[in-house]
This record gives sequence, structure tokens and C-alpha cells, in this order.
Amino acid sequence: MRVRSFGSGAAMAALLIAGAAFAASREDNLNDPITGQENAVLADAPNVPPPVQRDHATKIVVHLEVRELEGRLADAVRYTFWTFGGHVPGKFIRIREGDLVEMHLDNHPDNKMPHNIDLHAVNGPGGGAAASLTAPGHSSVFSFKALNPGLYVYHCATAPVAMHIGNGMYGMILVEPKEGLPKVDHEYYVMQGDFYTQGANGDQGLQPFSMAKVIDEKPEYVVFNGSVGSTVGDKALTAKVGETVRLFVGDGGPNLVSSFHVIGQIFDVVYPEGNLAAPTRNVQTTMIPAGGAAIVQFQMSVPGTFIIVDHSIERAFNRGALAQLKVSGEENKLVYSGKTFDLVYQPEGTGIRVAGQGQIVAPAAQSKAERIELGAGVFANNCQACHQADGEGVPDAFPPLAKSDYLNGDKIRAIKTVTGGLETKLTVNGHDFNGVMPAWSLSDEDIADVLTYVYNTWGNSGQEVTPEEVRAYRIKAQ
Amino acid sequence: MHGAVAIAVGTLALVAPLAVGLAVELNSDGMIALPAGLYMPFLRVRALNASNADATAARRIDAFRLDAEPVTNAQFLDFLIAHPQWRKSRIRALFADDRYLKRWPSDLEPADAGARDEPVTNVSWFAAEAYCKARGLRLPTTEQWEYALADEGRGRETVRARSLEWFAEPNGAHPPSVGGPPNGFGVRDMVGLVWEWTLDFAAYARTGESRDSDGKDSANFCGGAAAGVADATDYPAFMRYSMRASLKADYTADNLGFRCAGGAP
Repeated sequence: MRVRSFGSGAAMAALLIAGAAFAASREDNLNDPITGQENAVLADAPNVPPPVQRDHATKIVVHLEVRELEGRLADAVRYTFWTFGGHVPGKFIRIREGDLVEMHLDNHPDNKMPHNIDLHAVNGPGGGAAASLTAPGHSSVFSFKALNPGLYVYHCATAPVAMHIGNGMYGMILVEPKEGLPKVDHEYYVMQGDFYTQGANGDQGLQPFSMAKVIDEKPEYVVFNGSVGSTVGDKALTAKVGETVRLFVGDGGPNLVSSFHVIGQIFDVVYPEGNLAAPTRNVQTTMIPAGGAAIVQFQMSVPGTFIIVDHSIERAFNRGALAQLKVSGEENKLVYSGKTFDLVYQPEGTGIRVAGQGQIVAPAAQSKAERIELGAGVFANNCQACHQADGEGVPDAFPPLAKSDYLNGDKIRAIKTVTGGLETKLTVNGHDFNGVMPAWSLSDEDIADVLTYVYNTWGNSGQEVTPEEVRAYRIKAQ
Repeated sequence: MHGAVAIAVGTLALVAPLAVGLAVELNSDGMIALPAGLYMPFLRVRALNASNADATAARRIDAFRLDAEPVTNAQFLDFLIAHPQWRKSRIRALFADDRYLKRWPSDLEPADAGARDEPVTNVSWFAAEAYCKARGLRLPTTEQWEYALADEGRGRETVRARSLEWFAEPNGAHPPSVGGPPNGFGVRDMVGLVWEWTLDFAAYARTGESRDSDGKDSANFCGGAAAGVADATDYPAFMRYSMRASLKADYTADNLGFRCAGGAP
């Protein structure tokens, strides 16, 4: 290993403790002699091949078989996936820096399409794509020396590349540093991808790929490991309290960047962008570029189901980017108490809008016109949800305010109704209502404004209500 | 430029026929006469076999004839009866790989009775070209084939949609029979049944060519592909050119057939 300056010894020690891997130089890896040969042990997500145990570089033979297969994208939603090895994401490849990889890309004869492979771990034109364009029923072979350690995405790069990636053609290759990675209890493989179906999210049946949506970058599905619900329930990731979990996380895209997050679990260590030389600590959410990767690592402190999401949150809730990590073991009430009490919250006063009352200086209307204008806002914020924007209410539920005999008949009763609420049967314009109106903790000014607005809208009587009148007649809270 | 011909740049191929009063002409030999016209190439990379023509300019296509449909198993059987050296037991290894006529149980026996009208597949470029030569024809050039598909801009969205549909259909045991609806020229089944050989399939993309040393081999993969084409939203066209680029003349594939072309009638 070449002599380098790491700065102070203390800083170096800190980095080592954090799990930093310095690895060798590219030159060292280029010159690292190859001893022996082995076939790569590959794994399907969420599994990861075992750590490399060798203390020397070797020749690794990797066979990736491309299969075009119909499979499940979501419940009752089928899709024709294009895969490296039969599943999305593709097989996880694990090698050591300095290794010589002999890559065989085998395009199954049942396939329709030509395919190739671009491994981001390769230094060379197209990352191998230029050497691996392969017709159905044929194989391409090329080799590369692993010069840079790290976690890398591979993908098909045949034009139109967004269609090949969009159909699931991506996976990851881990190039371990010579000294390996720190030992952990569990390693898992999680890869995000976006899918573009002609039907909307949830439309059933075999869904064709949508060229228009992929060009617009508007996916119908954003998923982990190839389908909605791939990693939940019985298929969730598992660990025990006290164990350390390492996730190899990739984003195949083709278009979306991931805001990768585990709900309720801080990442103790993150290797951003899969860069093993510069781990960071105590991370909540890490950004993973399309065509990029990260390694996240954390120790479980308490049991429970931890939800893995793309924290660009709509994707998690509506498009499928959700997986589970189930952790068993002893509770630790000091780390997390759980719910200790379940009480009804009773704010002071009768209404619900008490926060900040008296602190906000509300504008005071200087004229009837201003009062109507301000009252429109009060109405929209407080009354409109039930009485409706047109004042017509909802039949059998919420009485109308428009041309309301109950309202126009008695201004003082209106003030008392708004300030004190109403919980009796009443008849408005000949229709019976039997609901509940809450008492509103609004200022005298606000109530004067909103009543004036209501009286001067929808063909009502046109009278004005003043704050003085509200003060005089309001029902006071008990 | 050839007279007052309007070219809409950015579309795959908008052509104005130089022959007026076009009608579908189906000759007795099952061929369609296509009029001369202008064609906007999809790839703005000069083909290896092209003259010094500007790759971004419209190209003139001379009148030619093209098989209305891909060559079927029944037609190929007739050829094998007359030309024994192309039977699967006799073909030289140089001219076809191990999957030559894979669906045929024996030399003169297409897969099954129903396969007669299906496009013949698992034929190499050498075998396809020999078949066409036996009829006094050749394989169409890539430009002729693409010109026939472009169909003067007619039905462009239908062609794209049908192509994408076909891409998404998992492979069946055998391709559907010929006899789909004709396009404006009267040509059938250009998409949705099989890929088709062209005479100069290897002339455009160089990604499959490991001896390439001119540094242009990025033209057909990843983002590099989008830089040199007329319409980067035409995914099926990318796929056709990628497929051709992945082939070698002795290759055969389950979804690869051909049709023949000839000079103007």
C-alpha cells in the first residue's frame, strides 16, 4: 500500500471506528495478481451473498441470464418484466477489489429483445455496454478489473435505455475493500425502481409499458424490490433487538431519486453514494440518486415493525414505495416508552379555536363593506365546511343560511347560536334539522363580521351586526 | 433537395411520394410496389455503407418492390425442397448457428400444420439472403424497410403502440400467422409478429462490433443514443436499431424472420 497522509492519527482512528475503509489505490488494484478462479455466488433480493473471505484477488466468473417474464407488480396487476436473473432487482454480485471479473451476459432464447449491461463498477466505454450488446439466444463475454471499491448499480443500457431500466433491468455489485466491511448481524438488499404502466395505479390485468409516462417521468408505481408489497408481512426483513442491520440500498430509476428513510430508526452509519471511504453518522434520510447506491447501518434498540419508505412521501403512500423490517425482542422503555396515557384532551373554553386567542391583533372593520369583506374569510375558515360556499347547507344535515327564515328572523338568536352552539331540533325553511353546531370561540369582531357577511349574501336581509351587539348577547363559556 | 418537398424535421419520416396517384399494387408474386419518396432517417449517424450524404438530410428512396408479408414456413419449405444445402441437417456451420430452424422437427417439416402461415424464424442472414436470391430478389435495405414502415407518416402512433404492445407480450411458443391489416402502402405485419433481417443490418450501430475503433460506438446505448436520432421519443425505432446492432449474419432467433425486396416493377 502506498504511503499517504491521513491527517492526524486521532482523525484516522475516528474514521476507522466509524467503519471507514481506505482500501487500496487503483494502481494497487490494477497490479494485484490474480490467483485462482471461482464462480460468483449470486443472490436475489432481499438476500446478499456472504462476505468475501479471500485475502487475495481472484478471477470471478459471473453468469447473468436475462429473462423477459410476466410477473406480479401489485395485487391483480401483472407486468412483463425484463430481468437480470429472473427477478427485479437483478442478482446481487459481491467481489473484492483487485478481482478480475469475467462477465457472461446470457440472453435467453425465449427473449424478444437485445440487451447489454453497464456496470458502474467498470472503468471502460459504456461500463461494459459497448462490449455486451447481445441478441436473444446468444451470450456476450467481457472482463474487467475491479479498481474502485464501493457499492455500484448495474443496468441494461440498450436503447431505449429508459424502457429497459423501466422494465426492471437493474441490480447491484458490491466491490469490497481488501479489509472487508465491519461485521454485522444482518445484510439485506433493497432496490427502488419506478414503473410506468398504461393503466393508472391499481388498474388490474397485464399492464403494458407506457412510453408517454416514462418520457414525462410520471410513474404509476414506485416500489422496492420489484413489486408493491415485495417486502412486507411474511416477506418482511427481520432482526432482533441488539442486532446490527446493514442495508445495501440502490435506486435503479429509471427516473426518480429516492429519499431513503426507515421510520423510527436513525441510521448509525451511512456510506453515502456507496462510497466506503467516507461514512457519516446519525442520519435520518439519505438521498439515493437514480443509478446510485448507499449503504446504511443501524443497531436495533427496541422491537416493532419499522417501515422502510421513500420519504418523498406520496410515493410511499400511493405508489408502493414501502417495505417492512420486523424486529423482535425485549422492550426498552427508556429508549422508547410507547404510549403511557390515553386521555381526552380538553382545551379550556368551549370551542376548538383557542390557541393564540388574544395574542393576534385582528383587523377591525371600519365600515359595513369592510365587515362583509373580512367576514367572508371568517366564513370560509369556520362555517363553509358545513353550510357550504353557496350557503345552501346540506339537506338533512346542515341547515341553509341562504334566505334562511331562522337566521333572518332574529339577529340576537343568531349571535347566541354562533357563540353558544346549538343542540336542539330546529326547522329552517320548512325542513327539520337535528344536528349539533359547536360554540365558536371567535372574537366579537370576527362574529360581527361573519354574521354581517352572511346577512348580506345569498339574498338575506342585509342587516349589520356590530361587535358591541355580539358582546352584549354572546353566550359566555361556563 | 428534390423539388418542392416539405420535410417536417423531428418526425421519423414524413415523405411526399414522387409518384402521383398511388394505389396499392399487389403483384402476382405477393409483392407490393412502393413509390419513390423521401425518407427522414431515424439515426443521424452516417451508415457505414452510405456515401458522403448528410446524415440529417432526407434521403431519396427509389421505387422498389417489397413482400407484402414476412416469408412463411410454407414458402421457406418450398425453397428447402429446391435447395437442399439450406436444410437444417446440411447447412454449413459458418452460415447459421445451432438454433437454425429450431422449431422444425426435421429437414422438411415445419413445426406443425398450423405453422404453415406463420413467419419462418430461426433463419440466419445467409439463409434469408439465399432464399431471396433464389427468387431473383434480395433482402430490403434498412432504409427500404424503414421507409415501408414509415408509410408516409400514416398510422405512426398505431405502429408505435403496436410495437410497444408486442414488446410487452411474453414470448409465445410460436409467432402469430401473417395476414395483419395492411398499411397505406399495402404492406402487412411489419411490427407485432417478428423482427426482420435487413440487407445491411450491421451498417448502422457499431455497439456489437468489438473491432470498432472510431470512438462512435456510444451512439447506440444509454444516453448517448438520444444525441444522434431524429426523434428521441420513438422507443420502438431505438429497439429496432438495437436489435439489428446485436446481430451477426450467422445468428438465428425465435423472433427473427425476414421478407424480400426487389427493384421497381
